[in-house]
Amino acid sequence: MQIDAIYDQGRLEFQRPLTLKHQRLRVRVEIPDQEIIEDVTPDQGSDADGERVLSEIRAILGPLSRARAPASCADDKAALSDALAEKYNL
Amino acid sequence: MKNLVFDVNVVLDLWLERQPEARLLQIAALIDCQRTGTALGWIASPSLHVLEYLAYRQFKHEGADPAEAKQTVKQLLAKLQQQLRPLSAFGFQQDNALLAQTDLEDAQLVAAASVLQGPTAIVTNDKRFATAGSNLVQLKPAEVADWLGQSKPSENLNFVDLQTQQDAIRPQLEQHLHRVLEHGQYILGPEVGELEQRLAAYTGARHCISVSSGTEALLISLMALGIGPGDEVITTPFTFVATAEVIVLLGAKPVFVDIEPDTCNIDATLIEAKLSDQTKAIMPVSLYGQPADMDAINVIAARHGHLPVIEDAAQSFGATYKGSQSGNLSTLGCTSFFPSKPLGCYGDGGAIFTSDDQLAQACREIRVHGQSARYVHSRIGVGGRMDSLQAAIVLAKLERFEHEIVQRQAVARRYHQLIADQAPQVQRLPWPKQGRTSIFAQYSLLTRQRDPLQAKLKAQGIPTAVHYPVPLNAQPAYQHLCCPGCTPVASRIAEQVMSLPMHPDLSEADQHRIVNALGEKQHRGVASPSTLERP
Repeated sequence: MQIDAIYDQGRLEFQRPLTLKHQRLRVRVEIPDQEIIEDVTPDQGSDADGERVLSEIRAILGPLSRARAPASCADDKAALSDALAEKYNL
Repeated sequence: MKNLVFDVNVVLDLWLERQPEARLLQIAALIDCQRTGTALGWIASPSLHVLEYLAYRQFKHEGADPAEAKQTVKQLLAKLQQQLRPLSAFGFQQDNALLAQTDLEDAQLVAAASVLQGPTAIVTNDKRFATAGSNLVQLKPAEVADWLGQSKPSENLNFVDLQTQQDAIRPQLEQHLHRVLEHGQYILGPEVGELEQRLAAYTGARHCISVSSGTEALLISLMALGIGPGDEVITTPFTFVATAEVIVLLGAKPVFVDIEPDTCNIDATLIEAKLSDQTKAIMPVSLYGQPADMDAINVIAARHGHLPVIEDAAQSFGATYKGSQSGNLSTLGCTSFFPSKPLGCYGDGGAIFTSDDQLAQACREIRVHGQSARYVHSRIGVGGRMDSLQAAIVLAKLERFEHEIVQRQAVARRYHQLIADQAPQVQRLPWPKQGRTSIFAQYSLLTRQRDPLQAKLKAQGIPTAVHYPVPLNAQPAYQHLCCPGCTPVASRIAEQVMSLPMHPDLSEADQHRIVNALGEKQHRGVASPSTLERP
């Protein structure tokens, strides 16, 4: 059957009541061509991607965001030993 | 696609901003590789708690409120799990050799990364991992872009590449397979029901009945229709033997009708001449992934006493015919989940589709020894159930199926163009007909010099296959049913057809290599290129 629906930010809302047998099912949706934004071609990890990811990390960090001194892998291994020692009161 | 497994040290550089801004941006872009489609990004599960401890400790030592620091770390981990895929560390990998390693965490990361099938790099600042004996490479973040850009030609190409697909769906595969191990319903478990529901929705058929193979799907369909001794079933001689085999197994007779030279599917215009009072069904095959002319076949079937039509969609699941899905184009549709099929499992499996309630019920009973209730055998049946593990694998693959359809069609389009430009001496099969899409289970072409051409390609590490070298009516077991000369088109195509490597992850570089080999001058091919192309 065909039914009219409104698409609103990722959700489809049917325009009349309908009881479905399953919670999840495949439907075919017709979207007007003028509503579609062409996909951006995947790139090799651009600066814009990096900036977006970095800003997301910084948003999570909030006041904890700050430049810190470099640390080697050996430094991290030592810090892990300390962290585990703290955790297990060694 | 290549795999990047991130070392703790690199992730911490980003989280704790321990590098200059330009380096942080570089790491951030790498960690975003999955979204940008440049690589599959992974974080080994043994790395997660290490990240948690180290980030938390850093914030706490800087005076952060412990609860807030913990919450921040949880959010960072959650974000990381959106960006990278978790890479499992299995119990069986934690053997004595691994436990004897100097650094258990590092050894666990190497063991986890070693299960990945495609080219895999550990992204690390100090390349300290013991990777000898594995195919893993170690790269500093600044080296990754170059490595991703390198296309190292493999000596031997795969005809079908299930390894790249496995990396792409590994998290889903592990999840679905382990769910079966946990619930233990190995036969007709919840995965089987879920798969049937999802495939029925996909095709639009009212019913999907999963079975133990594509052959079993055909056999059960014929049994559900009551086909038996003395009956005739119209079909094509240019197909895998299972199509005719199941007819003969039931005591019926396959009546072979020649094929169209362009689609290699049964020629609907020749069917009526082969109908008789004994004809009980028509069984077209949607070969190479393009549906047969189902409207024409259905009209003939309707005109002759509403004969049932069974579409053998073993190669065409995912293709469409006038907007409808292959498998749901006639009375019954049958498909196969053989591993090399466009939608395959890791063993044998298949499915039947129908919107006829009675036929669906019959199929369900026949696949369980004709059982209508426990130990009530209402009809003759077979042991034909699909097992839960195979259903779990198809469910995992289904999540990537739409992407793979698009990729297969793009690969086929590229072959079509490259061959026209660079290897005109081989004849392409025409592009799928108007109103049909092909899933391109095979990309096949015609050549009168097949044997030397196959040998030449093989010498260059390029596998080929022939689907199929002998029409069924020329096979010893079937030749008494129909003279080979009765199907001249099938005979000619069988002598000339050859399939090239075809899978959704076939790279453009590999396609160029294949077509270059095809087009080399020392080989002379055939007939003039078709004029029917519509790339």
